[in-house]
Amino acid sequence: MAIVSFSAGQVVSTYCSAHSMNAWAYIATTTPWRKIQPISTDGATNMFVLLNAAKAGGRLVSGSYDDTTGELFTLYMN
Amino acid sequence: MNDCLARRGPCSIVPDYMLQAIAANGTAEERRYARATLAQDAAFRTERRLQQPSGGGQPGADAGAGAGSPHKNRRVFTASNGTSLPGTSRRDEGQAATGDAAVDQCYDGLGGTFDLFWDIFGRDSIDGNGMDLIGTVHYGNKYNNAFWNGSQMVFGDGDGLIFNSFTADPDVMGHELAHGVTGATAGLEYHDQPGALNESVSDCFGSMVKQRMLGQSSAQADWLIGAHLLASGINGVALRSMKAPGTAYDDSKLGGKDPQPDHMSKYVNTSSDNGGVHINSGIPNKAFYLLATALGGNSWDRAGPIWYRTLTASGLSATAQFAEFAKLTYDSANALYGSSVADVVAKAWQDVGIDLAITTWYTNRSVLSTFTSAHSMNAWAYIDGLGWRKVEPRTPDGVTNMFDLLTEVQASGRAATVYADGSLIYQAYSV
Repeated sequence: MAIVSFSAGQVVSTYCSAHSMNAWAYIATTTPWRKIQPISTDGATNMFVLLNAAKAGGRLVSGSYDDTTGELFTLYMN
Repeated sequence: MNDCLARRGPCSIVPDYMLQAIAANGTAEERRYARATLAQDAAFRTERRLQQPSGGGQPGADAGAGAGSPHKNRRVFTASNGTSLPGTSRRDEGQAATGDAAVDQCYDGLGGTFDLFWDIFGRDSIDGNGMDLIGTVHYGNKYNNAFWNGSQMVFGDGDGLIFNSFTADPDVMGHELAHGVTGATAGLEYHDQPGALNESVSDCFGSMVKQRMLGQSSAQADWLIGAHLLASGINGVALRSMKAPGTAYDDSKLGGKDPQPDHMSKYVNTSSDNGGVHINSGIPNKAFYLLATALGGNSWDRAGPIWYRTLTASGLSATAQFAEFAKLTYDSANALYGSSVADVVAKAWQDVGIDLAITTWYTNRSVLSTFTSAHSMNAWAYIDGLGWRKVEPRTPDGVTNMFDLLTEVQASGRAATVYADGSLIYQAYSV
């Protein structure tokens, strides 16, 4: 597993269904669509809240993703 | 099979309950003519005499679109105030006007109906096989009705007290002939909801005949059925209003106020009128009016083909309820014009209280409102064009994620694309 960092990414779109921990984001600097790492329900929700707020507010995000799975690992809202 | 005929005899424009009201509430003279009309209709039902016109035949298996040139052959007769059909020939196809208003109006109305079905839908006459269009005018003594008997149109002169001549409105002719088309195609049974659809389909095609003959767009049309039928002393504008069901008349001689509902919440459960076929037709009538006016242009441009495809090529069952018909109009619209028009169809039905409950993607919609309580997985959103939908209560965190997305979309004034049906949202994108 290789953790890759990114910065100043625009949240282009988010997606989820009503299934548990099925939340995704399309961040401009980290294409393609990335799923939020599904390791805890509240944790996945917290990350998704951040992404939606960033998109709504036009703010950029930074963070990291797992290069093996493509899943988002951490997030900052700038 | 034309169930309209099988169940109650002729497919008449004036329903029995209206004639019965006149027979009970009119003046002595009005009551006499109403009873005579009812008796004549009852005699027809008993006799079930179907004429075999030459050059054509009764509508049978639908022949669909004509193979080549259409066979337009109008034959107008007069019954000379008797009841023998077809009567004495007065005007054949291509002949000049006679000066008898009923004859000439009948000729023109039959022509307008034929032209609509051929020019717009590619249908060669009522049976799709060039059936002669036969009309008999001056039927009976002040006979207060018009009907399709399976082979021809028949028109009374009206008593002049309650009803004017039944040839004055081309939508009446289109309405009655459309019963023949329905009989040759979907065969909607003439009772309850399928019967109301049968009646509504006739009103829809009758309106298109009238609007096309008058050169009226959907916005210009009055959407009245039989606008010239009611005599001057009657408080009313028509037999029915597709634009505003329930407002066509309000006169004690006709039984009071127009009983048609304009929404499923007002559906009339009754055993009279074959389960309210002339009454509850107001609901699908309103849906057609809403669709035609929302699409703009002429009613026969897109709304008409959607309805025609639904009637003739969608697999519509003879016992179809409103919901089935509505869903098939959605599918027909999607097949003919794509999802944007299908969405307009869905909205029209929703506005009359019929939710298509189609599970599909609804793109780029505003989130106009959101709601939640402290109960687990009780999260809702009001999606523009759809209304309130609940987030699928599958998992607590899944619901929270979905609700978060929707509230943020709402707060930012942006749009969402949702996968939903008539009650739930299953997936969402923020756009």
